[in-house]
Amino acid sequence: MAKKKLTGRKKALKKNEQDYNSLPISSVASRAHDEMENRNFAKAIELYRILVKREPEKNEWLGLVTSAYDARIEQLAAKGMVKEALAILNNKAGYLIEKRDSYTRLRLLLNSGAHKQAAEQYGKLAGDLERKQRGMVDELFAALLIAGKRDLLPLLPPDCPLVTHYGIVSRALRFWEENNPEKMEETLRGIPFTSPFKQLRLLLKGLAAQYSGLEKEEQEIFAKITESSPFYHVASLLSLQGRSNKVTDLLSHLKESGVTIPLKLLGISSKTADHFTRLEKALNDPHQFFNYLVNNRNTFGNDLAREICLKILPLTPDDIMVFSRFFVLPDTFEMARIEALSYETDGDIDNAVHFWTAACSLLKGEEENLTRALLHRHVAGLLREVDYEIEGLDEGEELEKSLRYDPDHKSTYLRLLEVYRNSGNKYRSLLEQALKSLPEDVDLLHIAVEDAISRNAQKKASTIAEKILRIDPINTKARDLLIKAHLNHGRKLFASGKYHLAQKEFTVALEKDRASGRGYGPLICLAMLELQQGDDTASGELLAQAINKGTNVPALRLRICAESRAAKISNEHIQQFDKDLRALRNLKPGHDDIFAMIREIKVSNITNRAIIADLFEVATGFVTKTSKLVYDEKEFISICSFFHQYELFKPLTKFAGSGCKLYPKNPWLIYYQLYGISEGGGKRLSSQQMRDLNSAGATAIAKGDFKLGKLLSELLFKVSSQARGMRNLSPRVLEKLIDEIVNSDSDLVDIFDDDDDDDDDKSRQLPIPF
Amino acid sequence: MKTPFEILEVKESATDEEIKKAYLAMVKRYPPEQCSEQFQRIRRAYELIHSAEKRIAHRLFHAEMPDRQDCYEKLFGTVTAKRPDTKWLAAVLEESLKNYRLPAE
Repeated sequence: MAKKKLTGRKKALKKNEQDYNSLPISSVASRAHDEMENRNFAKAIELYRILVKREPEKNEWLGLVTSAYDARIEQLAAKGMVKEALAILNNKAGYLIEKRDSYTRLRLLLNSGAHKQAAEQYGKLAGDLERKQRGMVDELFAALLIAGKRDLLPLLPPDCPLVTHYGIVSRALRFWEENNPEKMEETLRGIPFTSPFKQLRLLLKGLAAQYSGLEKEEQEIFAKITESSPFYHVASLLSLQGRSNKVTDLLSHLKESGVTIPLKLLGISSKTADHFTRLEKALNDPHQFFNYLVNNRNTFGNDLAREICLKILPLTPDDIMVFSRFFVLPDTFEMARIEALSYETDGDIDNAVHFWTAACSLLKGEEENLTRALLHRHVAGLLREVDYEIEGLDEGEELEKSLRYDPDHKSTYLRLLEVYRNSGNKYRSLLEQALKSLPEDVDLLHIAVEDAISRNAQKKASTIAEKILRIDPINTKARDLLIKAHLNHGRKLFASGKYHLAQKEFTVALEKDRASGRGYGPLICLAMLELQQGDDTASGELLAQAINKGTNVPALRLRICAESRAAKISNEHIQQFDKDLRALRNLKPGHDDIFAMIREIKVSNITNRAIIADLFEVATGFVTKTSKLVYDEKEFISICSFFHQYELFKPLTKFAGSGCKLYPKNPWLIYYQLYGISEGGGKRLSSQQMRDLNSAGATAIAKGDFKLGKLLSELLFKVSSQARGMRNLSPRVLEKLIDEIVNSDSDLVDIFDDDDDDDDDKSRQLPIPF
Repeated sequence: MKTPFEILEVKESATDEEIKKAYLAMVKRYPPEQCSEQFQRIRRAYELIHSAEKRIAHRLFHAEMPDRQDCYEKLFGTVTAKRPDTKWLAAVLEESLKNYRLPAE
């Protein structure tokens, strides 16, 4: 008989074999190893087969060829090529049959859906399986049987637990159907712990607990079903349904688990499920959501669709016209409200406040008073946010209007008092009105005390402070104000020569101060009094007591000097105290010293600028030292703010200068420095300094700090008008002039009317204002 | 989508006292240690309407996109899970087994 001619692949393989047979074994082995490394398992199998053929006695090649087969089987199985994988498994059997191949075979069959084949082979192969593998295979068969694949039963060995326990499980399920959980549980007890149906047993027990309302027990049982079990997803779904009937929870759970379960099984119709998908997208955007509701208004009902559309209309105001086409429009107040809210959302405050005002005017009846008040307050809040004026509207007026409708609103009073802080009589009458409405309000009473102190109405201040302490005995702020009031009154009496009465006031202040045990102010005032009356010894003792109480030496010395000036004692004594203050320059300053000194001025309530200026002039050596210490930005600004308030240009320049070195881009520090150098705009600045001022202003505006921007522009105007030939220009003319500069083509324009015709001299050119 | 009144299960005409009572009852039902998410919603609802001023402010100035779950419930109602029978169990099991794979060794 003639030999069959080899064709195609077999021919190629034969040729390969012939080629490799001529190579040394080590080369073939090395090539095979490389192919394994590169995951070319088919090629590796080929090479190892050659090696086995050439050296059949060597077990090593047998081991390697079976490894190659195993790897190839997994490779094909991973690609879903189960038939091919099984074929390779069969080929492997030609070399070596391993027990674990039985699991591989069953696994491949079951994973590919060839359940019947797997059931047919189960009897033959199950005995080869390891315990864990047997458990997994059995459990999957159990799940398949429960899932309705009863046709597998006759194919399985009749004596295997899958078949023998199936009957018990069926009975248990029947009892469940008949709503007889007790019988079901009784039946389930017949299922052994090692049964393939053990996880199903847990599932049914959990279900029974759920329907008996035993939530904790139910959750505990469901938690026992392992994640690797085929019953796991059912259990987690049942567990979730027991805890939540929220659609979103169910959908999220399914999404996370990656399991696709027809939604109708969860009680969600396909139509509803379709709506979910569309709604999910629409909820990302108000306009889309609006359209979705309008398009599906028949499904949801017109009223419901309208209700929801109305709620979201402020977020999608362009849809108002669409709304009007399909739904009944709301009343005019609602329309105005929707417009106002939509403008506000868009940041268009001008239109927002006008529509809010319009809405307010549409309200009828006294029962709407609180609404009116809220609207006025809201408008006031919006006006406060913007840095420009809106014609016809004013924050103060709006707040006052709100008080007409809601006269006991504390926050409104507090805000109004801030607004009218510098409005003299208006401020006072507002304060009176506030206290009439809220006579026991401690915050308002505090303000009243401070106001009385500022007007030197010390007796009134004391009375009100005492009232606060009756309401709130541990109110330290009131106590401090009371002490302040007595001290101020005492100073006034001292100044008018009424020493005995002054002593009474200082003594009361001292008693109040002793109760809190904090300050030394009254002791210093009493010391001054003794000094004035010639009792140096008593004065010295009191000052010693004060010094004992004080924790900060510079602050203490500053206070003594301040009080000596306020008391107008003899120059000789003032100079003695000044000597101590001046001597501070020999001390090493601490970080907190300057703050303590500033605090001392504030606490003493000495507001006379001349006195304060004098004090810091005396202490200039020490203050200069403190200006060279390192502070953070906020600290520098806080210090400079104090010196700015009292127009103390020297220390201001020093501190701001140090601050600018550390924080050169801080516009506040630049402002303070140039304010100090120009002495509040009274002196000229160099061109570079003007440019710095200009760019600081631009920075401030860019950061949204309009207050600083305004201060910088005011300073710029002032220093600009100091330029020769422009000293007496009115702000209006100056503004016009600067406008011309802004609108001119060149960046820097020489606007000084100078005698010289030096056009190239840019040193006197003004920068473009920001 | 659920208004603060619906969350606290009170009428829109409820007084401060009624709202406070409802809030406390809700907190008892959904204590923060056990139902933190639900408690947050209840707390937020209470803060929005606990006084007359707050209620008016909510009516005037509140506008936000509805919560997803509230939206679903308002539009479709809650999902009522039916008592699972053998058929249901078989159907769900069959679906979930489609993605189930025995692991390699």
